[in-house]
Amino acid sequence: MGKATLVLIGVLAWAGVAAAAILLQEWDQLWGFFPLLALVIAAWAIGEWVTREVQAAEGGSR
Amino acid sequence: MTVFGRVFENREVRDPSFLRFFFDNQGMAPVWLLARLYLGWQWLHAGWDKLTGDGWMNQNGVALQGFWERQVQQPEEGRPPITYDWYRDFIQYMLDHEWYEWFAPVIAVTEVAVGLLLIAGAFTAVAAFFGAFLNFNFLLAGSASTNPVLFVLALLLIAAWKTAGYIGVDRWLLPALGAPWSPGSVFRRDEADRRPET
Repeated sequence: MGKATLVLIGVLAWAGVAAAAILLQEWDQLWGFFPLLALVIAAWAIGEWVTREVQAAEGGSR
Repeated sequence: MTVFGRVFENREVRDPSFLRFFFDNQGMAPVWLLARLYLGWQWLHAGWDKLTGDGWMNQNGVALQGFWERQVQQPEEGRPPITYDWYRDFIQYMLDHEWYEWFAPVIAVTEVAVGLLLIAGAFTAVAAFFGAFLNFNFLLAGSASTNPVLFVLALLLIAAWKTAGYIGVDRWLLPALGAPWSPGSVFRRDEADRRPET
């Protein structure tokens, strides 16, 4: 996967969190908080994976 | 001069280790994540209600006009909602000039933006600052509600700016953008590009 694709995946993950936050708070003010927490951690994990992949690709291309 | 020199000696007073752990250590990031999400969740909910409800984005900001009109009242007996005269005059000035027409959408959009930025952990300290600024003004206008708690949480997040967004977009934004006194990788690269080759 190219660097641009990887970065796009990371950006989309966080954009998804923002969209999900709006939908979840409309769904339930109390219970929506917990899936949101899980989504934030998932997006962060995706970001970490993207970072590692980009670093590996850049390291390989040198 | 020597007395002043001794009193105001250029000596740095360092924070104790537990405070440095609390605000500067990435080990505290999960705690700040919870605080950040709670605060962002509250702002998003409050802002979304305004964004989709009546009187904020439409009807010329009539909801804000009503709030301001209630708060500037000075009852014959008892305390007025606003303690400081200068702040009451400020609200009255905005009322007289019908600023609620454009101020209401600004408040609604700002609340949603602060909520989303805090949830995503992007520009966390800046978002917390604007949140605290809103809380501060609501408190000055005589509306307590959840504002004291949200205000304190926002101040803590500002103090923990280096780690509060670590489980968030700031994990990548802060190293890239840096701070005014310490430019990040994006600006350092620009500087390197501008440097003439020798």
